[in-house]
Amino acid sequence: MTEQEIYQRLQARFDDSILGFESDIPQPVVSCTPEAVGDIAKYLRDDPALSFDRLLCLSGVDYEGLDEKGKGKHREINRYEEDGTVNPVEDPGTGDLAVVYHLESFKHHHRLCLSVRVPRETPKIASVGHVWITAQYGERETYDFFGIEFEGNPDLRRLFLPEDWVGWPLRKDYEMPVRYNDVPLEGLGLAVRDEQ
Amino acid sequence: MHETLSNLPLLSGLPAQVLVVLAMVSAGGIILGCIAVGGMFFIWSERKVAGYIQSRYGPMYVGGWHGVLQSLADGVKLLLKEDIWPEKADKPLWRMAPLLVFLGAFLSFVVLPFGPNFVGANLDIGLFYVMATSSLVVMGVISAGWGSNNKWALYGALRGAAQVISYEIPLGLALLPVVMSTGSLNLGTIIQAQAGWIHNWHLLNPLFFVSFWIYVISSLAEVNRVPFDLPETESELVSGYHTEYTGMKFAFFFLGEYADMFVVSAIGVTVFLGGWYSGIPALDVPALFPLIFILKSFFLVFVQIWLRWTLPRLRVDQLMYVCWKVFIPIALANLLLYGVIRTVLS
Amino acid sequence: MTDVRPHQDIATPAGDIAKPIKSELLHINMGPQHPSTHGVLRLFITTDGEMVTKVVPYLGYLHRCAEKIAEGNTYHQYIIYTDRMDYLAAMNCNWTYCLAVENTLRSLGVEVEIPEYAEYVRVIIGELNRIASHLIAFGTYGLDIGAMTPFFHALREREAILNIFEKVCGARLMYSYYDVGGVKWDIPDDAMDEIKLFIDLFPAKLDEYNELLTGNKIFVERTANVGVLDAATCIDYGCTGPVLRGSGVKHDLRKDDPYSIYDRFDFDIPVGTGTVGTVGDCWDRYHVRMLEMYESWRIIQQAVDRIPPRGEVMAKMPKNLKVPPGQGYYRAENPKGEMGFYIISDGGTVPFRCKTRSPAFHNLHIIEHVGKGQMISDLCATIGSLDLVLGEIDR
Repeated sequence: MTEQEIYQRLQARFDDSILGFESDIPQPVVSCTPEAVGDIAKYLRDDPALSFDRLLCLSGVDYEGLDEKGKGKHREINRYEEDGTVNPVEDPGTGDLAVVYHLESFKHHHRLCLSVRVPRETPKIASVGHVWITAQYGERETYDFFGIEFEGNPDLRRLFLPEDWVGWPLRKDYEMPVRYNDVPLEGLGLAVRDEQ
Repeated sequence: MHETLSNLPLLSGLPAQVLVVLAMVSAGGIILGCIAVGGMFFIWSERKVAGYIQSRYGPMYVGGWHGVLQSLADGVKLLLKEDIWPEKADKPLWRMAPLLVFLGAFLSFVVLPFGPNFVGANLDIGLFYVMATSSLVVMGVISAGWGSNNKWALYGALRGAAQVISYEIPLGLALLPVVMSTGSLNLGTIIQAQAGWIHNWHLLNPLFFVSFWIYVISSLAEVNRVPFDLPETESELVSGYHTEYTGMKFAFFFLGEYADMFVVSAIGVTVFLGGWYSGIPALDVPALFPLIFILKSFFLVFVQIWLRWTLPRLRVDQLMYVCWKVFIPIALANLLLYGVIRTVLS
Repeated sequence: MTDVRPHQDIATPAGDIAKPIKSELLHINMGPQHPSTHGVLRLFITTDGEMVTKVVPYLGYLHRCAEKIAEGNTYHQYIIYTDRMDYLAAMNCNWTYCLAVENTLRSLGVEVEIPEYAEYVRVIIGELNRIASHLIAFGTYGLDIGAMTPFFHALREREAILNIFEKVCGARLMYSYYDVGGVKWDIPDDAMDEIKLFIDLFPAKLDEYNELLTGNKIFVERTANVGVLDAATCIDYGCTGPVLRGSGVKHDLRKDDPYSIYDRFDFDIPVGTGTVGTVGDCWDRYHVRMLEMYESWRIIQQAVDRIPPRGEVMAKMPKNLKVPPGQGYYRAENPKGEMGFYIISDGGTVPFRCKTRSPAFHNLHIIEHVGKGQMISDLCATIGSLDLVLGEIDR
């Protein structure tokens, strides 16, 4: 089944929840609303004509700095100068966050890319951990880096970073904290030493 | 021994009590020296054999030829190392454990018959004595595991206790047919029953042959060697009961293990492999007895090393299975069969 | 923290004084410094005697912010960071990343014509690294089970492969040999001779390994019927590579979604068959790796036979690589499983987002499921059979 057919099938079933379909790119993207993603995932897995039994990759994306056409000026990550100063990001980000699911079916050998945009201020999305168990870790990772909350994930904790870490590092407007638990962080060591 | 000492012109004037103490101290010193030197030799040879099996060289530099002094260097290093104490360790138990482990091996050396007149104490219950002293090791293992206040060490200790206590039984049962045959627990007497040509060795008696293999395998478990090294299992329990030990305390565990290897091998040689007899009457001259005994024991030690670097390790339930469901029934049946045959033949 | 509960299994003495024996569950940190967690994996395990009742992995001890770094480095510069993901198969990680960038470029209309000679070089080197990675898996699995010797034998052959890599690219662990558009350098003559020598010698060594460990009675007892994963569970947990194939699923991207020139070679995909136990047990996963080494050897042999005469090893690529705006998820079969890169480009010289799908990350997750109800020794055997590399789990 091609992505076009999958999209039509999804639209017939979920009508309003399916927001769009980017078809003019090699790996077409279906986008949907964050609330419906749990149901859509269940449908994608259980429908015999689709049977997407594999979640290949669950990625978080911060679209801050990317315009409608996907072009944009890339925002540099914080730079630490030799004298210990840091170039902070001037304005807080405004772009959407997104969760991207890459799915594949063992049975039909077709693939689908499902993209779900969530607003930056209230990044909440339904969990798909009960559909593909592997998503539970992917969601934890995405929560860890983007601060997107997956409602229904049984164990939504930070995965890689310590529990008491402040901020969501892969957001484009992330500023690296000066200290973590009284430990001066990399690049800022010089500045902190000078303060003392 | 104190008779020998009192015959020396220098010491002849001393009172008897002093001589006894002197004799005890010097005998202990000799055994300790033997264990230390022997242990170092075994450690070095184990590393060389392991190297050979793993297609590498092993120690090559310290001491010139093939790193013969590597163990000595390691010993010095261990002596100089900082003695680290876990803060919440049970101090008396923790301190006692390496001594207990070492003591088990040390005491067993007293009765090992290197020759008809070359034995520390010619006890009538020598075999029983060795069995008893080698069980002391398990006390050390348990107190090390408990005293370390480390969960991995505790696991090692519990495994060690279960294993050593279980395997004492087939070990003892395997020795019993021989004791029935010779009618004595004295190690010297058992060896003398195997004098003459090689066919007199207990090993070549079919029923004793079964006993011998049960003994060899159980003794591996008794001294915690692969495939029965569950109390240590460096890949599962980090290092088992001696995880927290450093420096000389660790060295005592290490030395105790290698001394134990020699003890079980020596008992195996005594009971089954003709002890100090070479198997060829012409070669059986008293001067060669200790050499023959030690060479045979070295061979069994070599077999243990060989197995260690060849085999994987069993799981703890499989270990118990082998002991209770395989070895003990076979050993009991063997004992019964020997008893019946002996009664019928006589 | 500790839950106390009456233990039903232990018989209690009769009489009035008899009380049920209380036993406590023990909570142990397995790792981050533990011999059988293969790196800095920390498992928080709850045990009831020797039985493990719960396993919770804690990650992040080797986290190096690779995805953040990707957003600040050009496409070329990021290649060296892919080395540090699966450091036992750095060539394959390089390859997957370069493949992803090339495919993204192609899909966005930029022509990338990789020379055929370079494709052969990529296959030969990639498969050699697959053998090297599986050799480590084989050796360390022996260590986990308690057999020391196979490790040294495995390292002996890995050494030969590393020597080849050293001649090819100068490095022994972090190669950065693949580049977007080909490979960085040609294989020198003496390295090619060594590859041929390796092809001649390797099957005999493989037999030696099988003799040493595969059929060993104790090894079979320890691994057969241990850590059984059925195919549906594996797919649900996103397992790939030998873990999935060990459960009897014939899935290999080299065949199912051929990339590079894999469709030109004749090789089989070994799957677990439950020869000594159940399909999907530790032994099956182990054995699949052993068979895969043989298949890789077959591929290398064919590639060396058919390699075209020397030529260019790099496509004509702009020095300052710019990827047009767009996105793509591209993947390849790594020794540990399916590795993929999801690249979003904003038209600049650095990726806007570069997400890595690392196989071991997904393979690790299943330990929560399979670790329950195992003995500690079996847990070690299972972790070993999953062949985890923390470098790519934590990234």
